[in-house]
Amino acid sequence: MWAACEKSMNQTNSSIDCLYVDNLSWLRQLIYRRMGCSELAADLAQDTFVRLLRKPQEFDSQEGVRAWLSRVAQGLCVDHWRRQEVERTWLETLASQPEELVLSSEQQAILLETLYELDSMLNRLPEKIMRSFLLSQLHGKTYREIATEMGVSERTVKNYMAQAMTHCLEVQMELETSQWFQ
Amino acid sequence: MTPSNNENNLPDFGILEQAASWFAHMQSNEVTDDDHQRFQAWLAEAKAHQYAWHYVEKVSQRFSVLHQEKQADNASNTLTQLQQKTQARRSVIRSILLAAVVGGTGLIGWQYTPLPLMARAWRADYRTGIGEQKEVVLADGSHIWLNTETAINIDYNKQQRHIMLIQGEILINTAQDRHQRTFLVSSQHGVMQALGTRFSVYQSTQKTRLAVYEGRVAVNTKTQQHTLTAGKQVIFNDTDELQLSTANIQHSAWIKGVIVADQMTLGELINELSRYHYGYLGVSPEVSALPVVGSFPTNDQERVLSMLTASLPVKIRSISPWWVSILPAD
Repeated sequence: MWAACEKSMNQTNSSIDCLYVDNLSWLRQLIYRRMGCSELAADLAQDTFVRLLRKPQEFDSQEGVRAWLSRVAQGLCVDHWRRQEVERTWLETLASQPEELVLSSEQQAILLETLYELDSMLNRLPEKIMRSFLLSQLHGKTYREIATEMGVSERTVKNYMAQAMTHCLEVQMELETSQWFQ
Repeated sequence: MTPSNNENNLPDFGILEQAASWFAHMQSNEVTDDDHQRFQAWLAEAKAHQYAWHYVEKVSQRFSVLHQEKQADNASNTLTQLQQKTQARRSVIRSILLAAVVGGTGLIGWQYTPLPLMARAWRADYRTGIGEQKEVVLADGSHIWLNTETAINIDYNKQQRHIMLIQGEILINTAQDRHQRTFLVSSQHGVMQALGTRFSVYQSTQKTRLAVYEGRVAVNTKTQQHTLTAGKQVIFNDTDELQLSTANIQHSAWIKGVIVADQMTLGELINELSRYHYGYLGVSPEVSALPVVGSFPTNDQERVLSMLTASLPVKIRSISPWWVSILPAD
């Protein structure tokens, strides 16, 4: 099948159609082996091709196509697990509260999406840096209060804030630039 | 920054850092009118500064969503929990050791990777963890082997094939490209252009080592330029003279999972081996200059240690499985 598609490798819609037909069931299989759920595998395989439509790639060979597809699919699987983990942790946090929290499903969706995005920005930061960032941005504490609470100087807190924000900006830029290709 | 190297006005890492440091400053209680003016001037200076600031606002908006929903405390708990789970999985041991090693001891062993570099590695196209190795086949059929703790980004476009080595070590076998594009590898210390070939590149914090096994590779640093032929290697950073020497084919033995020691000292071997293992592996100065010969597996530290005690006047002190020192035998 590859030979039939080879001529139109330069990112026209027909070449993407062709890639889709040639690789969809292979990709579903690949994801199914990782995730163990065929519906999810079908969804994630679709999402992988949506990425390709948004941000066209150039390929030189069938191996190149499959290497790209499997890499993107793997990223989507990891995202999916992470979203599940964010949701689970959020529900655990709520469950440990004395009073029950009533949220509309829309509020819940917004909160989970926000938490997922913040988690992807913050969770790799060193613990102290993340803690001072949360104390400032979520709890509205001043640098002096944070410095006292954490036993460091105000200058260090300010440094932590800059480091945390730099890292968030890198992630934010990546999020936005990948959206530009939609 | 000049418009020519940044046509789409996207901020580079340096500008993101500037924006973040303005953010950190503007939140402190020491902001003066003068600061406000300087900030406005910075903002007006370049389109890329405005983009960077727009990202700052986007990040802040996420926090305000949580405030509006009155969920700051729950959100904070959730995010902290998530971070603890992740870090427990990945790197708690490592950071404890880091603190311990950076804090004292003259033993050879640990190398601290600066945060921005690590942050970039986390999101690289391909990466390996400590002790992991991986083979990647690129779109044009070129092969890249990633050694332990390595991260690369790949950018193939119409004009060139570009591999950015963010950290660690790679061995490359380039394929003939039907579009005749150039093949470039960049490290933070310079850019290398392959002229048909097999070569390896190892980047540490201070310097980059390029060894050419087949074909030729041209190196360009900020100050110098040199074309290397097969059998040669060069160590460079962006300021000093290039250090040329003979390439050691044994440096590429890692793709088979072994370190081949020939004219290596014990200190060098342990330094090499510690790249493949979590935890601290150190050698005391009295024995670090002892010569070692042999092939050592990269994935079996215990076996290497017993090979060493069998052939050298050394003993092993192991406080825990992840804290091992090599000392002179009694």
